[in-house]
Amino acid sequence: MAIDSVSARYQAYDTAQSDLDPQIRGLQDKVNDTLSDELRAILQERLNMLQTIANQVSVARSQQQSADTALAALEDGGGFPTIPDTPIPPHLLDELAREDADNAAASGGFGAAAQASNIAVKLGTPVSKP
Amino acid sequence: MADINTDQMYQGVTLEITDSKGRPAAVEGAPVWASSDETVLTVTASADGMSADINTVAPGGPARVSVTADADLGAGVTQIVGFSEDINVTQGPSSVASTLKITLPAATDKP
Repeated sequence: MAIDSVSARYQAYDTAQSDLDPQIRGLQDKVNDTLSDELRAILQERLNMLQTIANQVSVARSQQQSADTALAALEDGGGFPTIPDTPIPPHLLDELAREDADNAAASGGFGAAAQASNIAVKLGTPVSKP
Repeated sequence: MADINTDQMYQGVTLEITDSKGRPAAVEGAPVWASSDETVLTVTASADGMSADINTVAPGGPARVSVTADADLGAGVTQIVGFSEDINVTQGPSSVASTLKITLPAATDKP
């Protein structure tokens, strides 16, 4: 099930963690009680499952926080989503334009090589063998 | 269809390599020539692969000569192949019978 908002997602992590923690503690106590092997195996299996889920919740929360922090830094940096221009003095802008013109002129002397697509074999006229 | 006899050969067969608009185009490396039937025709290409001699071996055919080249002038490979027209090889006059020689044995008495 997808959770849309960031706050709802953190709330879902908290809810899951608060449901899981007491169950895990309780099961950890239970498996140490005097029980049949069959029941102990069942309890241990559920305990393992809940610990796996708790671990996944913890990893997801941690990575979510890292992503949120990185996104906030990106948005606060002033270069995202719109990349800003860098203002420079007019004479430097002119110099840049001249450089661009020189580059365009240099590239103008080249053309794409024709891509071969056909080979014709020209037999000519038979001649007597030497 | 081309007809040739075993006394003849094609000398200095050339290639015409063009792009899709019929303009001359270059290929990477030397084109590779091959005969479809070496019992009928053999091919000897020049060092640059841009021409070849086609020699006749024995009557037969039709046989063809193929030429393979790499059209990609960069690091990649785009193989293109060209073929000659079909070539029929017939017996040449030099190996057709032209003389009958009758050899008489030693004369013997009539029975």
